[in-house]
Amino acid sequence: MPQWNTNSLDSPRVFYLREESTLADVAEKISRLNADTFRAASSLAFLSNTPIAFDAIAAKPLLQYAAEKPTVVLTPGPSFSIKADLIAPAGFSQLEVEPVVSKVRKADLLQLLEEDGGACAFEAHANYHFVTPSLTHTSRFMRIGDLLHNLHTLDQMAFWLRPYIGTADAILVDSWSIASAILRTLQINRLQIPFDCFPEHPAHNSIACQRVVEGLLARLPLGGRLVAFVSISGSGRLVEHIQTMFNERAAGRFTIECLSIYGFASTPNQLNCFARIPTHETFFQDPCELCASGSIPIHIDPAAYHLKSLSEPEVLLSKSHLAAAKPFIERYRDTKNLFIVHHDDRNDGRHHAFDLNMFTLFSHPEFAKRFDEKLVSLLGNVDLIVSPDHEAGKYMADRAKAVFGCPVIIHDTLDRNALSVNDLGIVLNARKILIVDDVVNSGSRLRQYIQSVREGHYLSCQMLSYLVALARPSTPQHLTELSKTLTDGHNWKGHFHAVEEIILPNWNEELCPWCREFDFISGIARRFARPPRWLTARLAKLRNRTEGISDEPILLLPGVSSVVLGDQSPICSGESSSMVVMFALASALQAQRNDKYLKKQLHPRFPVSNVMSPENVKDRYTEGLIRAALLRLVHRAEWGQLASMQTRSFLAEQLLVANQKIIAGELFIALGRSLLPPISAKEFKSSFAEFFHADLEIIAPIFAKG
Amino acid sequence: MPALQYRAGLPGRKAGADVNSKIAVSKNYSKNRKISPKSTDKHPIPCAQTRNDVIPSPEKQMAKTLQFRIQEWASIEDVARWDCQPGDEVEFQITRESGFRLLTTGIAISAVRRVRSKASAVIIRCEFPFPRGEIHTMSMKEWPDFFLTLIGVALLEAADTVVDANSRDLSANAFDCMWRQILLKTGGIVGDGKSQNLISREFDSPIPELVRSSETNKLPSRREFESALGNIGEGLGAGKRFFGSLTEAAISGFLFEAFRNSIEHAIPEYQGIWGVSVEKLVLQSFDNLSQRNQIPAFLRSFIEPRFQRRNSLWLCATVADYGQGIQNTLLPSGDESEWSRLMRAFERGTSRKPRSGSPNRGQGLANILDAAARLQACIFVNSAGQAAFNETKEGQSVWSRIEIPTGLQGTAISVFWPVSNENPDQEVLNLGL
Repeated sequence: MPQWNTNSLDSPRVFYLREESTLADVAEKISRLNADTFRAASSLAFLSNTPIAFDAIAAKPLLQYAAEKPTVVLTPGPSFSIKADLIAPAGFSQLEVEPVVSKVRKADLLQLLEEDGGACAFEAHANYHFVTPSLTHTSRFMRIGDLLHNLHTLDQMAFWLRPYIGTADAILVDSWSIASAILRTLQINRLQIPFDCFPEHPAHNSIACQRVVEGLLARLPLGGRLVAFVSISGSGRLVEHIQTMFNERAAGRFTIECLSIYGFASTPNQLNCFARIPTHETFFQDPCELCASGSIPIHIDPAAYHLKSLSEPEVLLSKSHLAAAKPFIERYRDTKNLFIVHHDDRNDGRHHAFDLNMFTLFSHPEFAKRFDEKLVSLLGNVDLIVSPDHEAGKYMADRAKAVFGCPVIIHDTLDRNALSVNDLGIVLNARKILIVDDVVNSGSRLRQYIQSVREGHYLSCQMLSYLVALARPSTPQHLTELSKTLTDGHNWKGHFHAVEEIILPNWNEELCPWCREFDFISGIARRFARPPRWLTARLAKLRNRTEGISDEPILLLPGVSSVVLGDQSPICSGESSSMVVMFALASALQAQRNDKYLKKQLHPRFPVSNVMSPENVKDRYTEGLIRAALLRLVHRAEWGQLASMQTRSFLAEQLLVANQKIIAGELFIALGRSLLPPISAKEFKSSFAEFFHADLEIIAPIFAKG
Repeated sequence: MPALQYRAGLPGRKAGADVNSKIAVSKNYSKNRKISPKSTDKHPIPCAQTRNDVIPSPEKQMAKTLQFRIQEWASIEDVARWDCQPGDEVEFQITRESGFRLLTTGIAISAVRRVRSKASAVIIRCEFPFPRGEIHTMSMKEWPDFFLTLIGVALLEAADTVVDANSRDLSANAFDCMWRQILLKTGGIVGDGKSQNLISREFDSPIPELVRSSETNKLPSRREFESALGNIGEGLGAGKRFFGSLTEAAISGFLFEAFRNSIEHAIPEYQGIWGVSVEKLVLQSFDNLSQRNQIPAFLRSFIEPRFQRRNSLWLCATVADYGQGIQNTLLPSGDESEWSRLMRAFERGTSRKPRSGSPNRGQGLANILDAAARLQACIFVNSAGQAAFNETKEGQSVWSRIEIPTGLQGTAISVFWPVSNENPDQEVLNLGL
């Protein structure tokens, strides 16, 4: 009988047993162990997700094979605990669980890494190193998710996670790359516990991570316990992020336990790491010594936790991108209340980041002239006018009726079953139908009309024309597709007509930059018992989506005034308002995102990204207004990884320049929403002190997470 | 004696001499004032009607000081008198007994908003001392009961000046502490064993943190809302299962629909407080209802036939905002009266929202009626000067009109229902009897 003490578990050899294994299986494992491994092991430990019964017959040879090495069996205990038993000739001898679990777990997890052959470790070469998602420069990056490539390993991991998952009320995981281990644990134990993962590292997308935390907290019962798993902790920043997010939202109401499956020897001791990788790991603070020595920093993608392409081609917003919208913008740039952002459509309730007030457009003399010209061009090709049942459509139908003198039907679909008898008779006899509508966006209404004409067997129809006041597709290709929809595969001739056209992003509330601004600055306002006036005034506008915003689309910080565009700008004519510039750039960026020349296309995809060149804001567009609008309109990924740092640093410096103050509010949002890489609270204070004055101390802490 | 009195004199004087419920005013000579309105922009009004805009010139009108003493069980009529001329100062006097009758919360929220939008200064004078020590360290239990209600928080938010019986000036800290030390930490819930309140604030927190969905400022799901109601139930001493039972599922549906309507239909012009309030009424077998001042007269006639001379628990849940009123969110149909339009809002399919094609369009208020009928509850609606009472019965909907003072905006929808002792879902209730 081997002598037992906890030191025996300093270097155990660990085995995972399949379901329903017995002591005979344990004996067989030992008997097949190679001599070197057996000798190196101070003890033998066996894990099983199902109970193992003592079997005196099987125990006898087992103890002979194990000779002087203590052999322990770890199996599920009551209430999601782990039961640790020493195998003795007469039966199981129950051990004190905590020291056994701690040592065996560490050995097992390190053994997993060893058996993986280093496949989950990225080692630096002499001329490059890694920048982790937490923005730490390091010579080694571990992607723990790569360990999980078979069911056996998953079950093994599930064994160690079970005590924590089984007693949790909700589970947060730092990366989807290890989600399979959590899900497997839930599956094995038949648990239904709220669970979610961060979509990206919080240093890159704190808003999305906060939403995940808030979502889980919303599902916690009062006093509930959130268990957060981090796949591997280096500097400990990720755990700090999680703790901060939790404390800000739930301290006192819920409890949290943060656990790191792996850590390094250098990881702060206060972090609870299941296993620490003994290799000493060096972390380099900014300025990075490796960078200084010429080593190239290679970023780890904060969402995929894979290496990102070193090459991030940078693209410029050019005149060709601005050209498409320019005629429209120039014609109507002086029209008040035409351009609206952050607006709920009163006809269908949809939210539009960019919208146009159609009645304002209708009343514009230039539009009226072009509309009439378009109607006159259709003379002889219309004997029935159809309009959707909304005011703008009725207005167009009335105007068309004055030109064509034919019947008008107001109907949303032309569905045969929904038409009145009288209207159906008119439609059945119509040969040349003109459908008028105020705006075509996705084309869903047009498709509905076409379907009704087909299914209604309106066989007289020889020509189906669709006239919209404004075509505002999200891509140039989309307009072509819409036109084809009208004619392809049908017996009738069809024509698509638009009085005006402009490409605009089709962003709903999920993508609307003003919705996100509301989220961000309402969070700021909540920090104040009495929010300052500049915040409440802005929030009042953002809260009212029914009216939308038609004056100032840019967040103006205290002391900053609105500006107009300078003369001879490539965007549009001088003295154009910030709203007009916003629409011109929104259209141009959308054209750039869909540029048919791929090398010019703004295309932020993994692993190869075409991203916004910092030159766009440095030398190409030097007016503060344009820079501010770009900050509002460019997505986070479009700023790139490396390029975004340059862009951020440059723009932060520009805050000191007198004619660039207008970028302050947009830079504030971009930093707060992690559209650009974070800055420290100290940097924030020095850059924004002149705008926030006494409010600075309340606002600055949100940047401490960076 | 009326619960609300107007008293002549300067606000610095101690309250006491009531003047027969008539409005008495004092001329506002600020040099004589112990408490002067502070120059602050803590209530910015982002529409054209800013506070400075509405203060008339001295030649046109001399500003007055109005004092409203809130007594025990203040009624709808009492709080409806909270009004002033533009530029007046308004002082609210709070005693330890100050409180409100059932179904008064909605009117009070609107009245606070009305006073705030007109008054040059709003003053709270507490006729009791605040606990000694730093107000910043006060826990919810240490706060005076009055301020642990939806109305109390709304008044505190609206006030420029807060002083207690020891002339301790708490103006700089009172709401700051309520907001940062209590509401932010509880996710928006405040209250005690008598009432629990979910506090919403325009413009930044229309959806309190406790019920906020994972998507910031996105409407919570009903499940998320119910989870918050579970906390409210616990605060009322009803245990965690409260609002999770079959019976309360209908109530949570009611509250969720009303809460969602308040957010979706809001076009807030003023910042301020609104929210959800759940109040508890405990009746004992020997109670004489006519002597229970907590119960308004029209509600008494609803309770009387259902009160079976035994200990029982009744709950009143209210969603109250200071918006335009239900009928004013609907397009008028011909020469339809406001009352008819309000009634139309409760018909299935009526909505001010665009035609989305959704089968749920216009179902919100009608769903509330259905839920209430299943509970044998009554509903009280107060909407911009119109008030209606409905003893909901399955298969029928009969509204009776309640006369209330006119001139107030805002919507409040209340449901009042008996919590049956026999209901097995209520086994965990601790009624404190």
